[in-house]
This record gives sequence, C-alpha cells and structure tokens, in this order.
Amino acid sequence: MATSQTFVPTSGTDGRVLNQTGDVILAGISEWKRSSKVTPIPLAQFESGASANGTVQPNQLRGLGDSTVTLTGIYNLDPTAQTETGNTGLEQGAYVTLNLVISKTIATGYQGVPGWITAFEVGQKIDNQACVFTATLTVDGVFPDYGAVS
Amino acid sequence: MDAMAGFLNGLYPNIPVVEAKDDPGPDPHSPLAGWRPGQSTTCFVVSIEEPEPVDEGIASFEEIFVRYKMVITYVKPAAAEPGRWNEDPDIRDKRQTIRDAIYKPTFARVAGVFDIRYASDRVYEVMDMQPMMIYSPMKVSFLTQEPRGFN
Repeated sequence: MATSQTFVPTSGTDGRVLNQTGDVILAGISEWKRSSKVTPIPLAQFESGASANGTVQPNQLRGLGDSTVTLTGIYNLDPTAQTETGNTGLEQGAYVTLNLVISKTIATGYQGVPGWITAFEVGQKIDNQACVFTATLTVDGVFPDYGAVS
Repeated sequence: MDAMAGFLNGLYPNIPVVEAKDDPGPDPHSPLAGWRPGQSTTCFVVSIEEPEPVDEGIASFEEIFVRYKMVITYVKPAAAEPGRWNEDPDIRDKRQTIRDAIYKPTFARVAGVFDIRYASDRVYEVMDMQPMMIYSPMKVSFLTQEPRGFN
C-alpha cells in the first residue's frame, strides 16, 4: 500500500549564498539559480537497432553533464564587504567556490560549488532604482550533491 | 519622520513642522494632511501614506526592503481676495527647494536609505474653511533596509 509522504516546503526568502573563501555571506544577493543538463553521446554502429522506417536508434552513453549557476544581486558599495569586487570578488574570470543555500533555517543546499565567473552584467539607469548585477558561473567539475551546508 | 522633520526644519527654521499620523486628503471631515485647526497656520505637515510595501520590486536574502511613502505638505492660509486666485511663487519656490534637496540618490540624514523617488502632486489644493487654507502636497518615497529574520 502506498505511503503518504511528509511535505516540508521552504520559501525563497530562506535562501542564502556564501563565498567559501572565509565563509562570507554575500550581501545583496536576491536570486541564485542552478541550471544543469546532460548531453547524451550516441553510440551509433552498424548493428544499432532501427525502427521499421529505417530510423537508427542507437544506444547512448550517459553523456556529458554541465552546469551553470546564475546569481543576481544588488550592487554593494560597502568598502569592506563589497560583493562584486574587492572582498568577495564576483567578476568575470574570477574562480569562486559558493555555498548555494536553499534553506538557511535547516542549513541545506549545495556546498562548495566551484566554478569560473564566465559572464558578468551590470548597468545603471536614471530611474533611481538599485543597481543590479548578474553573474554567471560555469561549474568546474562535479556539481556537489544536495545536502547539509555548514 | 523625525529625520525628515529635522531636515525641513533645517531648510526653513521659521516654519514649524507637524508630524502627523493621518493620511492626507481633501475630505473636509478628515484632517487636512494631518493639519488641524489651532496649529500654526503656515507649516509643513509630514505624514506617511499607507501601506508601506515590503520587498516590492527588489529584495535580498539577508535584508528586507521597506518602501516608505512620505507626504510633505506645505500648508498656509490663502491670500485675501483677489490675490487668492493669483499664482503663489512662495509655494512654487518651496516645492522646488525641497525637491532639489531630497530627490537625490541617498538621504544623508539616515544611513541605508536609497532609491528615493519624487512624485509631484497638485500645487494648489484648497480647503474651504475659515480662513480658507491652501495646501501643497509632494510625495517622496524611499527604500530602507533591515535584517531579514529567519527561524
């Protein structure tokens, strides 16, 4: 007989991003987003199976996985706690290791995500809103498992 | 509000500032932008329009952002006839001075205030009472930040 599962949701406001260098909680981050995909590698050969109309449908290697992480945040002008440059250094070309926290209440998420900042966007306009940046991180190697974040 | 009242007092030391809890409005049964008969007939009234939105448009994981919508109203008695209907450069000048002083990237008197927006309202609003009063409201809104609580 099927067993009913317990459901414990979390909210976006319970998130967090830390730079593992010095365990710095990055100020002004408003969004992080992981995007991962796998590109299978077809193993076509003379003996691969085919459908009745001749479409070859080969076996597939598990493939190549890759991930990006996108951070969106508000520019921080604090001279000692700048998120973008200086102290924590989110800028293009930087190598960073981040903790991406889904719930800081129960300290869970992805710990130690390593990667290169491969894109960085920022702009300013006259409507007096806060200055917002977007940094894209190309993950270097295996994306850490979901679990406890210390 | 204290900071804004102090700020206006710095600009115009001879004009009293009333900090009111009421929303401004032309309804004759409601206070005139917080101004009540018996208070100085020429004054600034500072009040906060409700509600104050939280995390509207922008937020972060560590801080909440609250937008306060402040209404600054210059209240003065209308001139006697026929000047009552004439242009009043005093009101125009005060609006311009206040706008120039407030509509900036940050508010120097309060740390952490940013995204200041200025919205003009009607220059001359008339309150038909004895004596007839003119009030000139301006709306200034800004964001403040405070630490986000979590369980």
